[in-house]
Amino acid sequence: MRHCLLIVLLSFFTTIALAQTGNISGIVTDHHGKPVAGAAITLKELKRTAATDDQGRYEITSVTYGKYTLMISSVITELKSIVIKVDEETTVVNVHVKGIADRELKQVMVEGKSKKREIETSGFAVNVVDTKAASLRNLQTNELLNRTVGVRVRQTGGFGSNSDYNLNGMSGRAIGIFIDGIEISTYGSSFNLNNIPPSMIERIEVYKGVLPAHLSGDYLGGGINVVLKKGAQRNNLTASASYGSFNTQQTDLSGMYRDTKTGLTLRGSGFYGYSDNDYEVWGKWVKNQNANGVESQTRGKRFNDGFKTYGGRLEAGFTDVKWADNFMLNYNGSYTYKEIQHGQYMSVPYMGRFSESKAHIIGLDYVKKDFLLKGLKLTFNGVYSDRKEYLQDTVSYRYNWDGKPIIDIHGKPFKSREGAQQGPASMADINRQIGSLRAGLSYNIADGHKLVFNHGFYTVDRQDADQLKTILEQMYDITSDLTTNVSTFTYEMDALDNRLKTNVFVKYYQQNIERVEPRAQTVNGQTTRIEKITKSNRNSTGYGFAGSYAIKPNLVLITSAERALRMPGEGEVFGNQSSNLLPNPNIKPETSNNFNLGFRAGSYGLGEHKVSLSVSGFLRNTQDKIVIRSNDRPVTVMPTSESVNLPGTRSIGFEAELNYVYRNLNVMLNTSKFNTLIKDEVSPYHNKQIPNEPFFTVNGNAQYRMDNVLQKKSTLNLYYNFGFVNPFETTWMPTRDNYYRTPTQFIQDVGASYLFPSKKVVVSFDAKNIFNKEAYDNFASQRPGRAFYLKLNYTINNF
Amino acid sequence: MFGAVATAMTITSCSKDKENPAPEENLGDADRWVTVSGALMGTTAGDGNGGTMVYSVSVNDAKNPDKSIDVYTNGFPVRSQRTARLQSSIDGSVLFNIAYTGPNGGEFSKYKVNGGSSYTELSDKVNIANYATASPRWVKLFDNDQTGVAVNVSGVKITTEADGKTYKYARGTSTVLSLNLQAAGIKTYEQYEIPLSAEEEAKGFYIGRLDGPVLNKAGDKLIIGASRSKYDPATGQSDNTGKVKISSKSLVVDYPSLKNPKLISSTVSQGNTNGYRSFNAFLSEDGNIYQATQNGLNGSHILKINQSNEYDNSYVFSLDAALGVTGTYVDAWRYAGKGIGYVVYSVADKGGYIARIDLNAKTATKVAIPDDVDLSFGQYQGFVVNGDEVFVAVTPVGKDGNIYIMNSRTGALTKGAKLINKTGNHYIGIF
Repeated sequence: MRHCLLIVLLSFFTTIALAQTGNISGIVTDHHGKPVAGAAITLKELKRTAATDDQGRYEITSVTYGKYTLMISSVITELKSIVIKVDEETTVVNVHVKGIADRELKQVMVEGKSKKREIETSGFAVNVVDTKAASLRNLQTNELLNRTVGVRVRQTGGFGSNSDYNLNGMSGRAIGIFIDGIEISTYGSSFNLNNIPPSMIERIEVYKGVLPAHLSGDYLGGGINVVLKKGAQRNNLTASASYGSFNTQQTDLSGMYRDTKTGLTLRGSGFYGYSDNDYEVWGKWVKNQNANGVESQTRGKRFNDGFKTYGGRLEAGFTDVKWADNFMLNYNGSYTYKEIQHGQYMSVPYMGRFSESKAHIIGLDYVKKDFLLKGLKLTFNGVYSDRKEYLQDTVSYRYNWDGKPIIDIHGKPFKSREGAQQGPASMADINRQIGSLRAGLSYNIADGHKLVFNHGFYTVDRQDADQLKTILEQMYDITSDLTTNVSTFTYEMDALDNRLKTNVFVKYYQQNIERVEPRAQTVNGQTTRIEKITKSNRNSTGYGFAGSYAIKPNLVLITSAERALRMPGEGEVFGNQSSNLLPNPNIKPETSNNFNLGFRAGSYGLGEHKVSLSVSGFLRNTQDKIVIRSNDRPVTVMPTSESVNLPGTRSIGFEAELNYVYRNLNVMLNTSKFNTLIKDEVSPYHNKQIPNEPFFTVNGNAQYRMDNVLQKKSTLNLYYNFGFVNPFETTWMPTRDNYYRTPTQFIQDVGASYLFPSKKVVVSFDAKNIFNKEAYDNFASQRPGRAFYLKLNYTINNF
Repeated sequence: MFGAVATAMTITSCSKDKENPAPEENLGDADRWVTVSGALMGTTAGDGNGGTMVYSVSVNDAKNPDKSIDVYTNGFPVRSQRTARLQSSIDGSVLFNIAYTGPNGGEFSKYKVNGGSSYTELSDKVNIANYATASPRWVKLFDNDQTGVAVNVSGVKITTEADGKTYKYARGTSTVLSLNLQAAGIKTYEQYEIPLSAEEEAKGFYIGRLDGPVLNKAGDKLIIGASRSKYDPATGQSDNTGKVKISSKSLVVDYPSLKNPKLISSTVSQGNTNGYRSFNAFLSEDGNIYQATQNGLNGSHILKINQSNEYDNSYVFSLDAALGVTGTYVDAWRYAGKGIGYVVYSVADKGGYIARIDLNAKTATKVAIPDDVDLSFGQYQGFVVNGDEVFVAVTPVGKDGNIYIMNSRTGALTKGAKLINKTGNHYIGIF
């Protein structure tokens, strides 16, 4: 399968004819010769804009040959326009501009910002993860997120394993994950941050604590919004293939075409991923058992952890036409197969347990500015999803970490006490039909004053069946449906020449869970199945504020506050077998008062040295905090977990990010530290740190760029990355020997990528966890050691 | 056998006592350690799911009401995700533990008691999780600390008639395993599917738990307590209403082979016979086994199993009748010798009380520990029998309490060391 795909890809490259377009690139410098960052470069005739980076560099690709007016505007420079001619593949235009005084801050400030900077200075506590560089390297989307300040991705194993996201100490369902603003659960576990390649992603926005109105959902810890590539302006085709340790293979392909006359736009992307994940584990939970029960510490290769995924997305529609700025129909299909090596702990390795999931999703996006009347903008996003999950666990023998059956004291292979690897033998299907709608209307009352109304609707219908359960049991199994509505009303104001931006909002949440409990009743001597329907309706209101104030162009104060709440999710109420989560019908909604205050400073230059810094403090005051607690109450105990309410917690912390640029060297350091304490006077854990949360992390990375290595016009980038996680307790249990405390983690990666002079081919090499240290996201669940990956990227921008 | 100096005191008295001499006073071992254990709360007060702390003192300190013991501040944490299931050697010098659930669930470990919070974890680890799951129920046999027996029921499955809709029966796999306490390792194990009678199975009953194994006088049979769980045959879903009950049962297997499982039934009670986290049956000097019941129709009973390993249905000892109350429930008990035992119990699911019972006279007398609404022996695990004296830890949830010393010969009650408590926690045993 994978080889076929490669051949198809390669044959693609050789048959595509190149059209007559070229790229414009260059450096913008001021009258002192210093590079100008964040300047907007506009091709007037094509209405295409790019922003300069910290080195003053810009690039506009796929420009049809011809004469154009290039306009350069920036907060700190005067507007300048020059006429240029594009008649070859690469046109270099370096521009000198004149600086202006700070007080002449004008509308250009907004234009001059990159999308990243624009979002990051909007008032919300948000970080934008740029996927451009990462998409060329051997990086998973989750790894990219894990390096972002205040974000902790917690995976249970290698490529494709379950992941949970922790933002400033809040995790689980408190964190919303969105794809283009639609809740990720709509897409199912076959299309998520585990397998969406960075190359399909335009950017990732990470909102901490306070979510803007357009991401409607009852998430009180913030959210992660994955914005898939749009790029409606240029035609392109990109393909990549990578191979690495543990037989890990990834291939992806994406392309886009727009007919400038009709506005017809086609976009497609596909991905394939595979890994054996047979990495070695040697943590303290890795033990083999002899027939007489005596345990011995061992090392073993994971033997039931394979992962396979493929999927694709096709979009067709019209952009920039009279009746729509964007009208796109899309189809998204995806599949994953994942073997499950162990439960919550590594103590018992599983054989043969696996899950499969697939999803077919159709969606419609519509955006129209000046809808009906001038200044009124309509956005609509509708998705219907048909998700299927299958979980099989039928192997009844027990295995040691050497992959061989355990032999009992009578010389026979051991049978599992529960029937299969994690519990009773199971061949379970969970099917869900999900509808998710999001609509927004915004109206500019006056310059700088905007009203926005958003509504989000989400409904799920779920059917469960287990082929190994008797018909009787299945007839009387409980089922449930869930519907949520979130309405948001926002008022946005820009004042003081755009130096002050404010955003005030009110959110109304409504949730309806319908639980169908079949019962047996004797009617005329006959046992009859009747359904008892219980409904649970909850509604609540939250509100918040976000604002930013630019004291100087390069010093922006940012603050936000919200009374956020979230309803217990479907999984938290009813459980999810494939992630070992048990139901808890009594779970209450969680509320939190969130507050963020910080600043972004920079960049400041000192000769060729440039520094920028952002610091932000946060407070989360939570009631009925929903946490996952490892559960061992049932009689037939296996490592499982359930969601519970903790009476109250308070989390106080800060995060900081420092960027340093010197010539071709780019260094980034970030840290996040917080205390999440139980606030419950009657609990003995009052004022104690909640276990199993990594509360102090440091990430650092450095990139060094070398031009003209081996070949002229080529670029070599060298990368170094480290991630530090302070030890943390994983249970409440006191121990003398810190038995349940994680080790100190300091994981280091290196990498290099080489851009060939043609600018079409990039080869990347990455070595991860180079010192082969024990790595854990969840304790007792070891992550891969040293690993190597090689990736080849091919991009065609000109057709 | 107790590795101790038993001091006999001669009582010289007037002549009328000579026909009926007072039994000799036995002060037991004055030099042994007494370990006190306390359960930390998990998420709710008194749930005991936060782990277990232990602390050891001398017998004299345990008996001294001027001494205070605070296991939560000064104790040693025993490794177990939930309440550890502790047992101790007869002389109190070694603690045995099987971790209950968590990443090391099913792991057997031994700790040498050195006094105070000093416990030394001994040698190899044995894990019985594969044999008896990560949450095995176990006790040691009274065979000079040679053997522990762990039992478990797992993989309960419903079987229907061919149509798939008509309930036939539910059965699980029962595991009985013997563990060498001295050179840690599994001796042997057996597994079986134990059917109830066809009539009982048709009502939805099955063996849900096994616990509280005890060795008979001949040393050739193990008697294992059992609880019965129930499905609703109409729906195949669990039926926890408890409206219908069937007779009390025990599982009898050969020892030491653990083969030939057989169920025995009592007509006296409909209760379960597995107890909870502790011993539930004892061999008396008269050769019979006395077993407590829980959750029967008319409170708890003490049942008698004779030397033929059958219930003696002529022996009827109702705790409700003996105490003159309704709804007694024995949380744990301990046989002290010479026909005398101490039971800790609740009445109508409320309170925590202690009674001194006489197995021969079938009488029970309430022991005068202070009443407290927050006192419960629901998770109580351990008593120390040292000579005539029986040690028990009494702390209401979240409140301070004391060790009490009950003299099985005289019936006297004395207050021992103070037990310092913390919010949500309670002391659960003396070893």
